Amino acid sequence: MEAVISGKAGLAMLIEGEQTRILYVQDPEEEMVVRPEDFRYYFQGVGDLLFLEDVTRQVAVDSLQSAYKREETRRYMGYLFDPDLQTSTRTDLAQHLETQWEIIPGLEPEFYSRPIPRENLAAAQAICTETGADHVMAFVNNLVALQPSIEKVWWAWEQISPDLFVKKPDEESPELKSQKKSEFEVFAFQAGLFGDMALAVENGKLALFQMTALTKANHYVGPFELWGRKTIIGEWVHGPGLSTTGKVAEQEREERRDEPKKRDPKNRKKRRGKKQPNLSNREKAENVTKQKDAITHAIESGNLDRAEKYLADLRRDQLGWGDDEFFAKTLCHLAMIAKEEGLFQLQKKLTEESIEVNPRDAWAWAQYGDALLRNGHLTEALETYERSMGLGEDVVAMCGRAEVLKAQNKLDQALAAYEEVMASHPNAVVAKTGRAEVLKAQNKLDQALAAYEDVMASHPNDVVAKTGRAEVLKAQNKLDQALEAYEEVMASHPNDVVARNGRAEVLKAQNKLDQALAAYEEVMASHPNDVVARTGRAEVLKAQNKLDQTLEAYEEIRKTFPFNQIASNGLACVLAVRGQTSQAIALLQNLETKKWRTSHEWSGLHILGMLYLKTNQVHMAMDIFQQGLDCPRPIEVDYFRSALALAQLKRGEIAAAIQTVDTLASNDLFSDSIRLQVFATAGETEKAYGLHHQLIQSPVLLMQEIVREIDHRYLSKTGAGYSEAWLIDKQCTLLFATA
Amino acid sequence: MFWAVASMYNHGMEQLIVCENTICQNKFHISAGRCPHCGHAYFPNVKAAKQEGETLSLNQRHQAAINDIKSPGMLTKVSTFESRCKKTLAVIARPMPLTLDLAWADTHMYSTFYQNVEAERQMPQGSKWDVLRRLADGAMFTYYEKYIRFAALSLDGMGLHNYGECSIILKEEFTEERTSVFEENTVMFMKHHDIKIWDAPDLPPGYRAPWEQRHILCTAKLACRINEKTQESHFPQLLLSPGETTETDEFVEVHIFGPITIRAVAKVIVKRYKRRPLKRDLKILEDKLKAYNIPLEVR
Repeated sequence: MEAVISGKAGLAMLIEGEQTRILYVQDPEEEMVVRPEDFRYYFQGVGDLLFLEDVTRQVAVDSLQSAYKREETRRYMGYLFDPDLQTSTRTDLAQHLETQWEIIPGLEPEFYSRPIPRENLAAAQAICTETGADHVMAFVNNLVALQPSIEKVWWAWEQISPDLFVKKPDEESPELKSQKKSEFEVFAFQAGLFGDMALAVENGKLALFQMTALTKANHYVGPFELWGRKTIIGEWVHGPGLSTTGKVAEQEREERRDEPKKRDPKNRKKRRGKKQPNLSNREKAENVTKQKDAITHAIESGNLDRAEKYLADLRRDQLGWGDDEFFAKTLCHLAMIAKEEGLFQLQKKLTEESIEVNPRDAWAWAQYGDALLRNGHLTEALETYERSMGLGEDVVAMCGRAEVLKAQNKLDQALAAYEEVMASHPNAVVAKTGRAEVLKAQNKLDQALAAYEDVMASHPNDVVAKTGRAEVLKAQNKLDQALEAYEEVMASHPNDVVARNGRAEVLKAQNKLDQALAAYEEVMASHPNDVVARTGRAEVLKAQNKLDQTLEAYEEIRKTFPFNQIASNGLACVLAVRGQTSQAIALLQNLETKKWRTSHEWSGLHILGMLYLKTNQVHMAMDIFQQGLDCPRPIEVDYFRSALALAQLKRGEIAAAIQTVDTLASNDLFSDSIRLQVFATAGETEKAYGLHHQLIQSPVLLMQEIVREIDHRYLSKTGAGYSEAWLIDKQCTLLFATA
Repeated sequence: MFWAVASMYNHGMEQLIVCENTICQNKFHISAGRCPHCGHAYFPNVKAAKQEGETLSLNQRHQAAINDIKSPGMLTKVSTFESRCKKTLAVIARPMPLTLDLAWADTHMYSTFYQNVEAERQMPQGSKWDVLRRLADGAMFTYYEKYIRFAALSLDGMGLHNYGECSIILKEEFTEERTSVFEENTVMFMKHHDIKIWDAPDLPPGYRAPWEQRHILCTAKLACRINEKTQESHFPQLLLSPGETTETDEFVEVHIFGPITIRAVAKVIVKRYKRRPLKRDLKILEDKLKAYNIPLEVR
């Protein structure tokens, strides 16, 4: 059946053939037959419609209850501050909310969007104290703390002239201008900009917020036209009572200068009566070098608390001396250390601060762009590099931009970008190796190999070119040559992590799993934060079918690298194999609405589609597979094609399924099993038997099960042992186990 | 203040009206909501109900219904019914959660289904959802369906409880200028009269009325059902009768143009049904309505 759910209304409409029924969340056992046209009556005033396809009644009811609980909690959180309600009513609400405490944090940011009168907040605090609702109290306290910032943001919004919201303010009516401002406000509210800005004001990160807000506005898809978005956001951020980055930093510096230096009690005797001498520039430079070395050492040894402490001292000193520009550069230098250690979040934090300290430093912006790229924020990275280029940064920003385009799978644009750098800077090795990398991504392996070998000819010590060449050999399935190439690099550069990981990957491809595991673990011993080694190790464990250890490995990775898509994909597959499909879906759902995806995100999207297929959400699965046909990487398009064929089979669209498998180029295990099922179902026995003979010999037990069942059902026709749903479920499991 | 009366031209699917502002007198589409030339505002559903062909046909139906009454006693009964119908109320039936959302603040507007589908997630493609696409409103309210709120006409304040346990009675003074009524559920009307969707702009006239003429329509529709056994206490159920399913609901449909907030609400009646509504929600509603001086009745 199909179902339409509204958590706000607390009702679901079930559509089964020609019959339509309604049920309410409070009485789910009671159904009432209605007309399909009643849809418009039941869902008047509702904005949270969820359309489910091919679901059971229980799934529909569970979805409704989950959606309703969330909406109810949101409603009650709002009513907690409503002075119109009697205290007894609000007390009851607080007690009920306390039982739903796990939902509150997810909804909390929505309440940062509007100021709440202080007396209402105070009343809510009193009620929480009275009832002992500690979790609710935490939510209220957060709101109280943030109110000054929320008020400033709201006030700044109110001051923005409606004239800015239309193209020709002199020619438009005041009503239209007000309407346009209201529409922008709705967008800003729905996109969470009010809350984000309040937090940005609180944390002194308005420059960053300005960029993020503009990105969201630039990528907005909806019914409103957001005219003048750049000017409006700029006007908002510079509104009355709000400091921009430079001003905040300046104020903080002034405060620091005025703050009396804390005296160490241990040194009191020594310092008594002695005046602290002013430091010369040379002494300052020596101090800074010592501090930087100490911080570097702390980062490299993984003692991040100590690194933070030393950094606080260095910050106080350099900013205290007025050396903002140098401090910004120091931060970037430390960010590069963090990056080398695989500490991408720390890299991002440091570079964020550097651009706050000196927003005019083009190189700092380029470093921040790199940090964003490492952390998977591609759209922001692109804009950041462009900003850097605007401020005058040259090769680094241009190459960075090309790298982001490559990560976004805009391969033609990435190639053009690298070639542009090479044209203006013929000796830029980064551009040459970058270009070779793009050629590899485009599957132009011979050209990629030639490009790397060209670089090696003119730059024989360039390790990136050497490891790049080895990677191409691996992609060409010349595994022995690839292994040799990596080992050559390791001989001259024994600490090169890329070569060591590459070698481990080749060993895995050769099915030498124990050796591969050992190789990854060696890398992790010297580089515990190297995410490539950690995900590689997890993949080997999965290939060895050690699922518990695999799960643990991926979960550990996600703690440190929450945005690492390989880990998310791997974890989702393991959860799916273990039957924890809802959790697997939750991991990957954000990929559905992403506009530009990396290669790993495309893989994740494919896995998500299969998860939807497995849970009978066929409509959503097909949406995803159709999207996948636009994937810029040909190999990955085939994965989506084969999955689409499976979904078409599930819907009984056999002719469409045949057409789809006819366009398949891949011959991997998953694609072949789909081909077999489609041909067998369609009665194309000759093609089916050919595949049957090949696949029944597969060492993968799951494949043998699938092939046997297809044979019983369609070929030898000895009778189906299982249902069709079982067959599709097994196909999904095959993907999760081998992905 | 400009005075404008519209006349309608039917050009197949086009619905153009002429602004009779003596200075303006230009044509524009009925959905515009305001004359784009001189700015005079009006409500397209009300204008459609007031056009000459409609009122003429409605009056003819009304007269025919009166003429069919044979006995003076029955005539008195029908007259009484008609008088009572002058005091009918527009009632929207909704579930408690949505009523609470409306009551939250007077900036919360009661939006239509169409506005929400436009602003939020769209209905998915695919034949499985075609059954929900058979909506008549696009034909009935060409281009302005997203501004129409649906209610039912009621004599006792109770709405169609199949759509929710809260009957939200609207203030007449806040809605009368922008409200029209229709013989029955628009979809059922098209079904009963065997009207195809592409013929919708040419709906048979005489089945809709502006708010101030609603009693005429009620009589034209229901006079034939009043007999010797009908008593005054039966009038509310004669006018609005919820069925076992929504297919068998009987009512006069009310169409309100434009937004509705809590300020437009005169009263709320909550009828308890099994576990609905939750006591907690009822308490919240009670407190909120008190703040707006809106009476709440619980049955």
